[in-house]
Amino acid sequence: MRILKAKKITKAFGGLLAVNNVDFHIDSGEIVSLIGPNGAGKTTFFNVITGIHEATSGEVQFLGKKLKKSKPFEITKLGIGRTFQNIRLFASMTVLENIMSGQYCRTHTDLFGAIFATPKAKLEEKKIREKALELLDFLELTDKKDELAVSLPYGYQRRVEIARALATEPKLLLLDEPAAGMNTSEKLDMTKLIRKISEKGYTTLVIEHDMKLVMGISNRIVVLDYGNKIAEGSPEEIQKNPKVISAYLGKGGAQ
Amino acid sequence: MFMEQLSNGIALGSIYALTAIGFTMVYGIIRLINFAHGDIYMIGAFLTLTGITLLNMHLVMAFLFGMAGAALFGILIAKLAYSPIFKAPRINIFLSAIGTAIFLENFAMLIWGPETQAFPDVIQNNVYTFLGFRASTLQLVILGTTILLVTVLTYVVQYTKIGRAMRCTSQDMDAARLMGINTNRVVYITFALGSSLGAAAGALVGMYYKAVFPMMGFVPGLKAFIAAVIGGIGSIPGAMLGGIIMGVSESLGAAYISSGYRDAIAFIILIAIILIKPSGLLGKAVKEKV
Repeated sequence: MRILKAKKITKAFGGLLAVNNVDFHIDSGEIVSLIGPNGAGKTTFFNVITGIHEATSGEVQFLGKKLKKSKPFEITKLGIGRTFQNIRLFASMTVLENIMSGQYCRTHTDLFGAIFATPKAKLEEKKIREKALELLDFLELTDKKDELAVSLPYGYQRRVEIARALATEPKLLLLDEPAAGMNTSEKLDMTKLIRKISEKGYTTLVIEHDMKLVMGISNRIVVLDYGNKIAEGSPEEIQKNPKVISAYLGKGGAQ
Repeated sequence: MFMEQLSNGIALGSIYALTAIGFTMVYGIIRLINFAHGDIYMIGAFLTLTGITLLNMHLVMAFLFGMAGAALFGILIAKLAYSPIFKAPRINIFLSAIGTAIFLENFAMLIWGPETQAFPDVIQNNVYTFLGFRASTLQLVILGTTILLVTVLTYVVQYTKIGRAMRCTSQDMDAARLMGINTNRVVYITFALGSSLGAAAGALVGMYYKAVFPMMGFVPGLKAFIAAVIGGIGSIPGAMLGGIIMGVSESLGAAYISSGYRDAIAFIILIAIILIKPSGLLGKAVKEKV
């Protein structure tokens, strides 16, 4: 099934074409990576396909429906969950609470139910907790559940962030530089983790600089440079593509 | 005398605490000192009074009516006075808060008149003595109501998804939004909860001193703000602690030093605590990232 489809997306800031005429799609169960040198327009493109920016021209379809510019929480509710380039966990909450917060948009208790602790609200709270515990188990974080999220080592914090994004029950999971700032062994763990998430049936879009990670996980890679899509294909194809090599290494590198 | 002043102080302190919680909650979420909060307290007292005298409500019903009405006022203030300029520099919202306070005072004068109105005797006031501790029925009612409301609030903030969303929003609004939390709604809910607690405090004070008037919220608003700062602004347990400290030391100070220094004592405590612990008793020091 086609999860997301972007047709001829252009995004201009004044006279600058940050994204120029880019086609993009992602199918159910795929891991697609979006790569490109600094300033290539990855983040802008990311924001356009998640509805945070409106495209200057072109159209984005999410689950077959046109995606309008919406508020961030509405996008999450539609089914796009994400993590951040700089970790943004809720600092004074435990790991479990952080993950439980991700369930907010999937539950219905209102203020009245919360104040008077109605049976429905209690049941829902119990379900939220169970779901969060399940995710903790899946991401091998169960023994850390009562620790303050920010007191964990960096690699674990990323895991918690991913768990929190999964708690929003996304149809499409976006990982913004999941291996940023990690050491080699943490990167290896992350590679395994992303594969494991994918095996569970999540569709994943990754923005990443680390080539080893990208080559290790992706079904398909899309390369942007100066706002244009310069290549798309399997990791092997991308590695050999002269345009990609010259974008990364300069013209001399292609020979 | 000491015991009597102590129970006076605890009753007064509970009221400061209830009011301070509203301050601290709003500050925690949108980093705004809501100077209109003291006037919400006044509106709550007037609405409760109206409920009793004009609408012939039972005391408890009138009390809830006052809280609900003030919650509505809180939401309207957030919507009309703060949310249009939410992205403006903080000073603009601050000015808007002062303007709202002046508006509410004059609004109350227009509706209920500028003169002091007597609060009817709704509770029979007996004095109980227990282990040398003297407390009147009203003081016990004030303490009991405060404990009940604070317990409910703590439960909501700590153990429900709305409370979790509030804590998320106060810690990182952008991340909360991207995790599917409608932060605008959370802000309104916070205003509603804070305002209803403020209104409860106002109604209790109306009952205690048997007087309700349009400017009644001004000084308690300031005192509650001090209580919130003493306890560490943004922290709900801090606001409670700060309120009790303020109430007790004011009563004792008024009794043993001079009642003329009542307000001065509050500010002296503030200065002393700020000098020793700038983030307040239970506040967390925020480390600036360089």
